[in-house]
Amino acid sequence: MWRSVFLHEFIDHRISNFQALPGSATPASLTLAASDDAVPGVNAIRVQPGTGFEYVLATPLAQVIGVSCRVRLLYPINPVPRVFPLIQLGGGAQLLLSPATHPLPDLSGTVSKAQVRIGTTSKDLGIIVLPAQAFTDFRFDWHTSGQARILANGRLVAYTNGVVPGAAFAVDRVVFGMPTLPPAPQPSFHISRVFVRTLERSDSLGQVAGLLPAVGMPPDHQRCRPRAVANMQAMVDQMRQFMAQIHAVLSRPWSEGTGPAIGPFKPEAVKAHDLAMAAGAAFVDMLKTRDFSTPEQFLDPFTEFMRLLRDALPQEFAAFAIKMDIPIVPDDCRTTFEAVLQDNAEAFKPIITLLSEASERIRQIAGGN
Amino acid sequence: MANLPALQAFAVAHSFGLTAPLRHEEVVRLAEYWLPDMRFYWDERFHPVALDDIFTMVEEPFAAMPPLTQEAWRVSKFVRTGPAAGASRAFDPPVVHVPDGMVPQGNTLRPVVRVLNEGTPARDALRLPEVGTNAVVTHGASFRTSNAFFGPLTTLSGGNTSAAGDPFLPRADEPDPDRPGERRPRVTVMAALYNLLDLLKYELAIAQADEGPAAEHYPPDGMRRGFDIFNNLLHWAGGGAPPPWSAKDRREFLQALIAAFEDGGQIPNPPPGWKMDRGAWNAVTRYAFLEYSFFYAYNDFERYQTTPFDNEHEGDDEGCCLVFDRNVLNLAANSGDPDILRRAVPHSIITLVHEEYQDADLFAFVPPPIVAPGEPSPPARDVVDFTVYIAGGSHATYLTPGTHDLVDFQDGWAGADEFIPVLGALPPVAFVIALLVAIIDHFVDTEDFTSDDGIHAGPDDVVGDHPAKVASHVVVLPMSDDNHIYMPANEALLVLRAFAGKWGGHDGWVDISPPFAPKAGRFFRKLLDKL
Repeated sequence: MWRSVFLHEFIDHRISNFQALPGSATPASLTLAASDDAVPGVNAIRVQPGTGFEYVLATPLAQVIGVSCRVRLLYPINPVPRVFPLIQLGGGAQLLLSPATHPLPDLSGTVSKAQVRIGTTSKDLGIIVLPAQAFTDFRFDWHTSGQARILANGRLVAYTNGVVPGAAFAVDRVVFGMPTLPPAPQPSFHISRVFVRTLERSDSLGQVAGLLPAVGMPPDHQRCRPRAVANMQAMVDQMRQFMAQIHAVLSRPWSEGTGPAIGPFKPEAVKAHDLAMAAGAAFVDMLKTRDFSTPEQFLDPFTEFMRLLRDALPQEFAAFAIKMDIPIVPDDCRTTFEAVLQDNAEAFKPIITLLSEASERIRQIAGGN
Repeated sequence: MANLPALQAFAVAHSFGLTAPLRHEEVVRLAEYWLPDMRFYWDERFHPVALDDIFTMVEEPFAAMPPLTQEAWRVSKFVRTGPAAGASRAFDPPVVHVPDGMVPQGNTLRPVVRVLNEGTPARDALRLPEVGTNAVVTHGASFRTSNAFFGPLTTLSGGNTSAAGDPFLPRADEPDPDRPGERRPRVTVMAALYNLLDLLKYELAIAQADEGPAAEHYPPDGMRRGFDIFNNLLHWAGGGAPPPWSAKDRREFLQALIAAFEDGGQIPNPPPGWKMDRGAWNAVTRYAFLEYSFFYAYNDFERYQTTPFDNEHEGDDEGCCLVFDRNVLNLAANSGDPDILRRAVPHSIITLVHEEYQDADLFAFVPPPIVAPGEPSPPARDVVDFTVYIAGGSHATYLTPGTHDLVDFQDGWAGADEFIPVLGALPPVAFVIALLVAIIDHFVDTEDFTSDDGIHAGPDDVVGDHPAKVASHVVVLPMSDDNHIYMPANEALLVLRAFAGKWGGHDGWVDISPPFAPKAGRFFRKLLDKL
């Protein structure tokens, strides 16, 4: 489950009225004042080099593998020959803009390069338009499977793949605006909302595990549980890497201003995404309701999804499927967990039946069926 | 157990009154004046109703159905038929039931319930001694049944499909005073005023009663035990783990604190190592909450979301709160001018957004109006916007229209992965789980939907002549010493609001019907967070 990290909607004129994980804003951040002078009725702060908001988390987030940031922006026409950060999550992720030269002819906005930086690696996302006359909700997403994208008011405007697949980093702060740059009059723009969510490496596994039947676990003198969980995490990491390979085949870098009208995704990519979401949702729904009476609601989209992956990368899929028999539980721990499974056979039976059928279908698909 | 006489006697013995110096009549005026301008989502099917409606809106139409039709709407419950046997039986809705143990069924035990209102009105069953925190009121625990009794019959234009600008009309209705013989849709909300200091004092008296022999325990009361704020008032600052400080001693310390404050005496010092939060104490003594509760027959958030973010449940209480500085209310009350109360400007607004643990509730300071020297203060409602936007299905209450990211600051899944190794014992199964985990990574977000294109409700002079305006009412719970809910004259209301069980039959992993819990503690914690 993606976790909310920071939300500032400038709901009133008090800069300190925001929601966030425990932490503190820097004193300079709290000197900013929200006002509605850019658009009447819309509270916002004005930022320029030397000003911005910096929120330091009491406990840094570790091993962040996904970020989703929303910044509602109004950028009066003022092209500036410099690159500046719009939002930063610690030293791990940054969205950079460079509205270098081009106001639109109708003066409704400024053309800007957008760049993502993950760790020390930067990659161009494409060309976007910064709005001059109305606040626009920009959303910037990155995931460790290598996909990065920008949406403007919900519409995809820039996309790329292969952005540091497999990366994970710590996030100790959220920064928007340019508080660390030397003061300068330009660029100067308005921000009326910021929302940041992150995904940590263990979050999704925890979410699925939290939906499994709660059972009594024996004492863990051999540290079997953390060892098995670590192996499982490593397996999930391999899945994410495999997905990165798939993205590389089924999508390409694209931006609205310069890319083809068809967008960045092959039709198979769109279909694969929909099938994966349907399968994932059906599986979670079954865990939530404990109703496994219609297994095809999960198995049908899951099977189709697997076929699409196989068709995209046949050899890699076969190699991937071979990993199915790699044990997760260390040999010296197996009897412990098998005993728990046996004691709770009734509760786990429908889940095991469903997933065993899914694994069998993967074997068949890998075998060419 | 429901023990209304005990609740009433306790209120008399402890001089119940939480609104001084305002009398009930003044609280009613204040609550009607500040009734929020409510904007519902255009596709909303369940608008706020009174607790009384939960019974009448089911019983009356059910009684009017032909017997064959009634069969389809009876509520099936698994009840005991012998010491070790049970069977499903159908009952007329709504049903009030309590647990009745377990009976064997196959290799497992199955829970059994006892229905308390067979052949008698459901409301009367709430008075029975068996009715406690584990009792349930239900009319069927499904969208189908709630929609049948509480869902809309038509849209504003008379159609059967809602659209922006043509929303569903609320099912609850009343005689139309402008068109004799006809009825009009209505929305009903509840309100109550609480001085925080008085509320804390009364809650501590209840805590004291609960420390006594079992026979003296304060009985279940849906309005009480929601203001346990010790941890907000006192913090351990002595390093390491705090030494034991019993609940009784804590309670006595807080009571001594209140007594010293009321007598103008010296504030007592907490035990060594404990530190009192002066800001929190100041808030307790300074503020009063005017709470508005919006009670819905059904939460159908799953119509708007897909798993894993969706949920649904029968019964749903949401709402918002105006925070008033008591000095402002006192001044108004003591002025002798009834209009002066309308010039009291709230300090802040708080709205409820999903669960408290998600830390998503909204807070907004209200800027004091700028008044030219010598000019009278304007009516507060003229200068303070108290418009709330209620999200479709979830009924989360926002201060702005449009879509709202569902925020959740909790770390709800930490440590949950300990069960994974159980399935890890089967490698192919673990492999599929890992694959699904990588898919679930991409379930990034969900949103609440609010709009300006649905039903509008609120004070006539605020909502104006909007075409989608419906009649609005506020039931003000009497909490004043001159007129309070524990007085015999208000017993019919007490039966409903003191009910401490669940207002719906959902009891699943995610889909859970709630009790109608008091919210003052939740509002207080949000206020402290922002002061």
